[in-house]
Amino acid sequence: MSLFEVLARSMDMIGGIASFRLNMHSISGLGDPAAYWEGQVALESDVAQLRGGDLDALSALLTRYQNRLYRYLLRLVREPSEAEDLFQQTWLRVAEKIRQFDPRRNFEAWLFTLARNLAIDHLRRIRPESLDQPAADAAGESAAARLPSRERPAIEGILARERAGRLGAALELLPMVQREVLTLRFEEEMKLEEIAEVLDAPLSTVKTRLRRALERLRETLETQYPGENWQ
Amino acid sequence: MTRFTEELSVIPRTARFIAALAWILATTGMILVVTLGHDRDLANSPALRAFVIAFPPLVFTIYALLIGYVYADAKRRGMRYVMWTLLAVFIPDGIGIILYFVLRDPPMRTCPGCAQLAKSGFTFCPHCGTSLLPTCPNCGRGVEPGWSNCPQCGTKLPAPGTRAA
Amino acid sequence: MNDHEKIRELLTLLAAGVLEPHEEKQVMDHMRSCESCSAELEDWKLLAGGLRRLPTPQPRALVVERARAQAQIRLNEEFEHRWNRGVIVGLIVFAWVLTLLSWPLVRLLTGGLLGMLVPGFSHDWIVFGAFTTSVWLAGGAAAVLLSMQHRRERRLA
Repeated sequence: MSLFEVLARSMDMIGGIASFRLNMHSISGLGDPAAYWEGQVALESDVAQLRGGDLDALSALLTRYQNRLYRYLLRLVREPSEAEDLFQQTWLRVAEKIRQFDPRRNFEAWLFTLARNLAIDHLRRIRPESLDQPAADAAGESAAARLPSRERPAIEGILARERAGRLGAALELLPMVQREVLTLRFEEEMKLEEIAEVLDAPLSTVKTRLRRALERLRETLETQYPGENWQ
Repeated sequence: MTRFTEELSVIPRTARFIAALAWILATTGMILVVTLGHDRDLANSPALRAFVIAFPPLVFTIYALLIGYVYADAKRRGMRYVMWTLLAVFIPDGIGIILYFVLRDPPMRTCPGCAQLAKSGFTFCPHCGTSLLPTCPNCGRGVEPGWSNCPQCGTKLPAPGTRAA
Repeated sequence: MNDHEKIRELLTLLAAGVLEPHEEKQVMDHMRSCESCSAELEDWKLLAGGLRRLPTPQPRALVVERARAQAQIRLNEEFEHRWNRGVIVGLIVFAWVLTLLSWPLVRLLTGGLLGMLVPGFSHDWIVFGAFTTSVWLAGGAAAVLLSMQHRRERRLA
């Protein structure tokens, strides 16, 4: 790196750390800022190598994002076997489209956008009604909207839902666009701008959706388990 | 640019030498033709003279280098390299070279067992028998890692990286 | 209490951590004097905390490995194709250069010869055309024969 690039990088980092500290109180779990920036540099290097066709870089990125990507897809489609299928398709798309990826863009946002588009296309084909409306309430949920898993034993799904508890169950009852914005904000811990990029929507829309999603979630919990603690 | 230089390094030294020789000879030849000839167009335009002296030798040099590449590349892909080199030389206007690039085999793979080279479609090494590709548990034919079903018999394949029972 | 209503809307967003600093200050100021809003905020924070702590579902190893293998193969294919396409285009340009270069050569060789056989022959273009066409026909025939043989070999292999 030339001296100029080193200076530019340091100024970037200082500016980043400054705004990072301002948001610190609202972002939990990111931990040590130094580790965060180290991770960012490694990410950029992996993406650059991937753009050159490096197989190991692809493998490293896949490992890095495997859990997060799967979680996001599962929140969107709610069926583990479908999420697995989409997971494979997303990474194929990454291999296909990486040459057209602008390296100045945020890779994470691009990755999640790819996944999102595939998931929406999939839902449009299989269960178009699930895109706009909330799922049926818990009683009617059982048979109707659930297609049987092809390869996963049913018991795994039941156990997973048990672990997620009531909160997880209530989350699944929300409309897809609300589930999505909640998972991106609280599970992915993405900033507002990043969420807006993934959803391809203006900031105000994201804020509104977030607010409505939280209100809806609370409403669902209070109706399902009136007076109880949902922990 | 590194892919390009990587491929260039395949050209054998003999071919590079011949190409350099051809370039020297052709340039000398063209200089002679231009200075000793009586063509009116050439006499009037220095630019044309320069072009005639520089361009054809360059083309011949590239041609020679390409022939060298076809020879070495066909050899390392386990093809009939003598036949292909002759085709590249004698089919005029570079069509033989185009044909080679269009029809060439994929690169050979190194056997993990005996470290010898084997052609790309082989499922087992012809020298030591080690498996080169994962095989279908039902029909035993070779399959690519990453496929979900065998293309010959349709059976579901186990995950890559897991040892079939 | 229009103010109160606006603050209530901002409470959820504050728990989500997406408010601007000045909006945050607004809410904090309001909460100093408003008990119900403080309690509300605590509820929302509880919800937000619960969401953050949801267990992460994990993909099966089989799925991950298959995705990895497929994507790697695909990545290789993409870059191979791009490279091969570039090479073929370059070679086609080169082939045309050779063709054009052969015309003066032909003129040199045959113009003189034919001039001797047929006095007054000056239509070089016919000779060029005939030469180039025969070359490309021969090349095309070779291509067809080779690819037929190649396909036969591939199928047997």
